[in-house]
Amino acid sequence: MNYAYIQPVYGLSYPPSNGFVSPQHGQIRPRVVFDGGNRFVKWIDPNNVVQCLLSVVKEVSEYQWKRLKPDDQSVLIEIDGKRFVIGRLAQELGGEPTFQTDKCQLASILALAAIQPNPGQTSVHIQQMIVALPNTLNDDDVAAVKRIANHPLTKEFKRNGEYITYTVGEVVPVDETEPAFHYALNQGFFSFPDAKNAIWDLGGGTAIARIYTPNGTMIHDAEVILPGTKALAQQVAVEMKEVYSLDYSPSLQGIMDAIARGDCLYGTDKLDFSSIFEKACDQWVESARREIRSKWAQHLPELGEVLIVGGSADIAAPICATSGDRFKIAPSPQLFNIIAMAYQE
Amino acid sequence: MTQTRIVLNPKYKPKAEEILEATGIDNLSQLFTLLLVNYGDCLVNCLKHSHQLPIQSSLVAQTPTQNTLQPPSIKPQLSPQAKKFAPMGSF
Repeated sequence: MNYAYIQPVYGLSYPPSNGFVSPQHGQIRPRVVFDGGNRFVKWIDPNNVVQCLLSVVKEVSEYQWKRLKPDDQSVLIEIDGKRFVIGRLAQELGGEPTFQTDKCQLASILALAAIQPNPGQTSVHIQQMIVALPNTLNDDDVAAVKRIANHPLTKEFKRNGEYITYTVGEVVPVDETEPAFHYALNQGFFSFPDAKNAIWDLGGGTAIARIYTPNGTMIHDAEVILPGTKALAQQVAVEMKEVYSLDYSPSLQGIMDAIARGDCLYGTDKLDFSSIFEKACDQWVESARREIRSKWAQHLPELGEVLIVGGSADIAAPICATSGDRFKIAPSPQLFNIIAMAYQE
Repeated sequence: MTQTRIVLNPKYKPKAEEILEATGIDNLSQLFTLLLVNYGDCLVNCLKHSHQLPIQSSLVAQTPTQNTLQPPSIKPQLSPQAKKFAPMGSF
């Protein structure tokens, strides 16, 4: 047995034991990774399992709260006298999808879902919370997520009916594509590791493509930001209303769920919008192709490969097909970012 | 002897009783005194220098999930092969 000292998870090193007995040993989590996306909230729990919830928040009244039935696709939070539901149940109660608001401003609520003590504990001290942001140069976004840190104070809230006391030492914002780049490079996803390579993150709110030099420097001028599946859903909603002569606007959430399921059937009437979606996708792919060609013109001769990650990665399949495998979709694209964040140094 | 009374929030009482039972400590007053005397400085250190917290090895070993499991990983479907670089064509 190894009694010298135990190497903690995520590769963080601690000095060897000096005989200092800490009563909080089981309450420390060196690092928690959190991706509060526009469509899904993802994190890795204390058992190293990726957790994923629909990114929808609903603040509910005391009376509604008493009638809630918990489920495994939702998290119930009570904090500062307020009650929030996050996930599937929030969507069913008419909560606001994160993609319709500002995900960074919602981060302080969404992140509570990821604050979980180690098994058997009711308190947790998170030394570092790594939070993915679209752009870490946006001071407002950084300030919003940094508010999650509360060290040296502790705060108490209830998660699914259980009291949790927590301290977050430091919040470390990372650019959304950066962990994916480093992870892909280290795991051998790029066939030309000595060349420039790119990550294209296709999400619900935005589709961000960034080129990196072999040493991990992002080329700022080559950043391409396109609308994500939310924009596609908006286009589909407008055309569905016309095609089916609807007297209401189809919900974007319902359309995006149907796209994610792959059946393109909306609502209980199962309105088929596959042909509308196909057309919208073709237009989106064409505009993405144009934008990338234009922004990356000077880098294309030196560009190795483009790895596509994110929950909407499949939309870019036509570009992969015509690129001779230089654009390729990552395995498990929906989870690629959060797993990459766990390995970020 | 001058006494100081301390109020325990009722929601923490089950935890305190659990510790009494597990340790054989007689009462809450003794428990508080033991915690204060043995772990008071440690608490101050933990709150002040949490980023450099030393982990006592034999105690850490009692939290198996933190040490036995690794985060999940994703590997390339094909093992990476060195290719000769050629500029990207049209896409």
